[in-house]
Amino acid sequence: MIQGRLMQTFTFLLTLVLVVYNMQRYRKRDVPYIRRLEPIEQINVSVRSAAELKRPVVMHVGSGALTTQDAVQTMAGLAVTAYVAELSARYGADLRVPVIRPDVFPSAIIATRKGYEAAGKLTEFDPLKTVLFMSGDFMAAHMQILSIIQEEKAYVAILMGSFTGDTNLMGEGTKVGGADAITISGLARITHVAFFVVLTDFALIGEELLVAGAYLSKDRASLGSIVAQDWMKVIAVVLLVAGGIMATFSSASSLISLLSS
Amino acid sequence: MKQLPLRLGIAICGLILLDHFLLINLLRNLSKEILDYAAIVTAFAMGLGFVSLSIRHYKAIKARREGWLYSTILVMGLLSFPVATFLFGGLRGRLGMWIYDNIYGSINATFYSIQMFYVCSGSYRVFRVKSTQAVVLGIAAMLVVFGRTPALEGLWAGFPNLADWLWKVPGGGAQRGIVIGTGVGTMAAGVRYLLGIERSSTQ
Amino acid sequence: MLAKLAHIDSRVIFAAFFIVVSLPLIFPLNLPLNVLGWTRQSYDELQKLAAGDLVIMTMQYSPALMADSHPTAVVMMKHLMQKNVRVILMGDTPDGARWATLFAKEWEGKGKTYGVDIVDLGFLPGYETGLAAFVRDIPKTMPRDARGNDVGSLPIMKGIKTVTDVKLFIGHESGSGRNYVRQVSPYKIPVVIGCMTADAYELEPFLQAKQIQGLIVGLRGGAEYEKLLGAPGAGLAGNDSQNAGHLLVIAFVILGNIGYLAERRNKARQGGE
Repeated sequence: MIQGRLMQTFTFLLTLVLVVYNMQRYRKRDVPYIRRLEPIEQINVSVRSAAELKRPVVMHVGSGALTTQDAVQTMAGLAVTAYVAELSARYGADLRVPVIRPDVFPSAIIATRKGYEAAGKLTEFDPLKTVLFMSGDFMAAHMQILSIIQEEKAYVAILMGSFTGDTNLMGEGTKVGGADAITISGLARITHVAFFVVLTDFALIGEELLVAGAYLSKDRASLGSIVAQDWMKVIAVVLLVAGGIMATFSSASSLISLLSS
Repeated sequence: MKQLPLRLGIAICGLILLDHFLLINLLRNLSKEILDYAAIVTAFAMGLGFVSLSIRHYKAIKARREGWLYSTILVMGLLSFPVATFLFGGLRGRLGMWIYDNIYGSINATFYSIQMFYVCSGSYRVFRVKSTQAVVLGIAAMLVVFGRTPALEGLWAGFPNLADWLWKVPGGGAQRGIVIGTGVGTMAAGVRYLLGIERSSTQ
Repeated sequence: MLAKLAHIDSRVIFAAFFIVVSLPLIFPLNLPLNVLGWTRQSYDELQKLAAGDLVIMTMQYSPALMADSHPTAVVMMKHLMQKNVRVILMGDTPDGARWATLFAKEWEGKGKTYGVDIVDLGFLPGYETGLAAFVRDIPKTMPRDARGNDVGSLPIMKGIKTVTDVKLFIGHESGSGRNYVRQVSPYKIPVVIGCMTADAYELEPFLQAKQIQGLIVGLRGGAEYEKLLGAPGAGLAGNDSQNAGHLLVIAFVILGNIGYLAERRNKARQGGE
């Protein structure tokens, strides 16, 4: 065991055990109650309206890679991409999936393809026309994406994935320059999520994005893993309260040393 | 056979994960090799992106679609840097560095500064007193901006401390709550991917 | 009439912003600037260094983020060179490596000896993974500098094996400041981070927990550092512009709300009629 990682190991194993336990538990029981995520529900409404109005749908998973700590957010965005692709294929909407990072590009093609396949419209899928590699460069790519949204008057821009400095650009850029797209966003990065919350019409905050894939699948086992997350949060709150009480009345240093061991 | 790539992916991710926790030289060396392969695969993915971009814009130029001149400039830009660096001194040669400093660097900085205009128009559009929550948000945001504007410290010297308090105490508390939730969510999502439950972006 | 303030064309806003932000760059206002505790802490950390001490300075930011981060890097480099501290420059992104090269060339031209006072190790590939390997074994991870020299042959790199052989680690981050906290702080050497404004409150808990010893935030942090060092530069020049921009944002928000309330009152009156 590497020094200083005992608690990390324990936390990971606990998460693993709780996720597996809850997945098994809910395989045989009723679907657990998961509160409604309005932004996800709005996607269906917006894509259908976009198809009726013959205006494009833009689905953007952000500027994160699949090889960094933001990979989970990007993969959550790809799960939503598959869903958006399925809806677009079903309703006949014109879908664009611009991609910035080269390592995300093949995964975006697969996710979009899966969506078309789920809608039974695989023959209509043209990767060159739908999944657009913009550029490896952050700013150049976002300028191109905004030009698609503004010039082609996209009806809805779904921005779910890993965004950094582009939150402000994408949040406001979809509302000016002739565009007035409905924006549905999702971001788990705390430093930038506030921009999306104020600038976009609907926003998933933090872990709401990370459960999007499980939420959309409606699969009992996946939904069970969301219950495991809530149990972990309860444990975190208990530790917080315990630490607060200890720090108030004596010292929390023993708890801090235990948690950082 | 169909499950083989998924199972291989899970096994490799498991190895790298074990390397994070255990101090075993064999595991460390194996993990480093795998990460090197990942870097090579990423480079191939860049090539795939290059091809896709080139085909799309070549088709636009050939069909003289709207904006085909911009596609021409893009293709010229796409080719000029590799040609300049291969023929004249490599990546760190004079021509390559001149293009990087004077063209790429300047354009990059210009594009990023466009965001500032959007900050201004976004603030104007968003901070309206439409509801109680909007009033609270607007006032808090304005107080933070006041605190970050030294020119306004002449009005009241307490603005910076108030802005600090707003950001650290209520803001910081909310942020840390979201960070805890996100951290837990990331772990659970990671476990879902490791166990192969969520597969929307894999075959 | 007042209701029209709620619908100002965005082009008017952009034009006003351009004028208000550009003018202070041409006609400096010299607005007052208070130095925050974070910047002073970072300054004091560098003041502890003695001539001949060795420091690593790495950069991540791209030209896009230059306005926020570069003034800080420039003034810290100036401070280090004034104190005759030896500096190992590098970039943990390809863009960051470019600044390392430019700093090395600049200070070589100002009388510093390359390979003795400064060295440019170039780009450290692998991001956090690369950084983890680098702090464990510097010569093995980066056997050659950016000019192709064997690092073992350079006097500045003699005896350097791990990051514990340096007195201070300075990182100019652009979104991955936590990499330095995770990979460098456990080695118990002082770490000072120059960060983007947006990342300040993400990294501030680490400052409170003493996992890092200094934090310089964005353009304002760079301006404060210039004031402390007595070396005015792009930071202080940009500070006036930033102030003016903030004031304009406040003005537009107030105007927007005046317009909104006037519009609401007009609608209520029409409804009443």
